[in-house]
Amino acid sequence: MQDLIIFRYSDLIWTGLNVTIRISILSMLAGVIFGLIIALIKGSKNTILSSIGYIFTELARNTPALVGIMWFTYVFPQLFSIKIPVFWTAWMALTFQTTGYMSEVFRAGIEAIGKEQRYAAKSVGLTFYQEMKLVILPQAIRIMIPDILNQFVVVFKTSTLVSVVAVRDLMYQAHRLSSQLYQPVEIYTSVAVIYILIIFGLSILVNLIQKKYKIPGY
Amino acid sequence: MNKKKEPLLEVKNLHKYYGREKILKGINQKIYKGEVVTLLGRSGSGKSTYLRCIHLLEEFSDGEIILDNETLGYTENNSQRKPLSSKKRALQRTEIGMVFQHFALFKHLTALQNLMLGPINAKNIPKNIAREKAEKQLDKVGLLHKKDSYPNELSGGQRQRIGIARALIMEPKLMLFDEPTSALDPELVHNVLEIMKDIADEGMTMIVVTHEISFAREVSSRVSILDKGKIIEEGSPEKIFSSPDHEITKNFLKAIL
Ligand SMILES: Nc1ncnc2c1ncn2[C@@H]1O[C@H](COP(=O)(O)OP(=O)(O)OP(=O)(O)O)[C@@H](O)[C@H]1O
Ligand SMILES: [Mg+2]
Repeated sequence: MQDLIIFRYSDLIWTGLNVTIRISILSMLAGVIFGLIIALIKGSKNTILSSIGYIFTELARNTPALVGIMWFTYVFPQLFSIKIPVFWTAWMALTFQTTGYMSEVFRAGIEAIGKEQRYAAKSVGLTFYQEMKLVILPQAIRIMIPDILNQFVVVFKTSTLVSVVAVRDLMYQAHRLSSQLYQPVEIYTSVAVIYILIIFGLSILVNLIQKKYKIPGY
Repeated sequence: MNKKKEPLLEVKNLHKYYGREKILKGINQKIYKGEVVTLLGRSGSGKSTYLRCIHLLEEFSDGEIILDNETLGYTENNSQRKPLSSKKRALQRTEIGMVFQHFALFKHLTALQNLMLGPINAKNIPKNIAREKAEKQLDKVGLLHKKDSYPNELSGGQRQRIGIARALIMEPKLMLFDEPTSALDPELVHNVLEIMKDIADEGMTMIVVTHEISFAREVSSRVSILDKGKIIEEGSPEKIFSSPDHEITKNFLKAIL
């Protein structure tokens, strides 16, 4: 066991894993927040606003992930003549895509709650913000948990692409070790196992969360 | 002094469109304090839409709704009609309570929490006081022992009684009932109607959409017939049920009696 490359170079693996986890969580968090905002914009009665929301969603979901990463890394900073570390340009690309998907998840979740709940919330004097926070989202979240988890897994998988623009994630470290040590079979297999274990763990966690927040009699 | 009695609710020339379709075509109605008005009409005549407009749950394109001398939902500025701020509208909605056909209880909250949500968040009533009031209100509809149950653990009749309690706890000036018993099993209807009768007896002003003719007869002071977005006939229950003027009313009553 001790002889495995990933243990001999465990500090490199940890650094890489750390970057992978950080970029995934940060993109997911931002994607959830922006996704919610875009979903609310899409639900707006103002047709211009809602169209902008839908166009954004289509753009975000139809841009291939790698194209997005390249664009945000090599085009975006030039457009504004600024320097942005590759970690953050890659984060933007992942967030862009996640926002697109999450906005659809939120829109569907909010719509699933139905008109009567919204009327009832207004009826007892809640403002739009309170209605969302206290009535719609707590119910919608329960419906959306499987989709949100699924999206997190997608982000986690997609994050392997950021190594292409030299973000030093787990995949990047694997490339580097492999080209130094000429042991691609062992290195890539070990890394695959790490990715799979994490994704598997995530699924279990989500199942537990779902059970905990089940509404009695629902 | 020749002081004229002011109506609690005055609806003037109310118009409402859904898209291109005109749903309400100029409704005029005055309702006085303590009155119980039964609203009858065929499916699709606009009864629910009318109640929702009064409660500001839907926008309306033209007309005015005045509750207790306050114009609801819009202001007139140099003859420019403008919607009020959403905060102001939320506050105005607390003056009116509504009971829904399918209960519309908050499914993720217990019976007690359902009642406490409005007082705490819309009226800024402290939690412990809101809880006390909610328990009292639940007791009134006979469901204090179910305070920790979730809506889906309750029967339809119990849910509707909680729906009524949730509206009453806001201490509204006007209560709107949109077919409160039509989603209930027949044996549960009576109980809900009894509670509505008690509320009426306590002097609450009510507009009730219902097909329960016995309730309309015994409890309401007035019956209004809505057809294709207009009130075509109004009168005392005796008058409407025994000798209506309008042909449409006669046909409608024949169908439901
Ligand atoms: N959200 C909506 N969008 C478009 N049209 C609507 C909407 N809600 C109601 N309508 C239409 O408005 C008309 C009146 O509907 P409303 O629900 O007010 O009738 P109602 O008298 O309450 O009927 P019912 O007895 O079936 O409840 C109907 O033709 C209906 O199709
Ligand atoms: Mg209706």
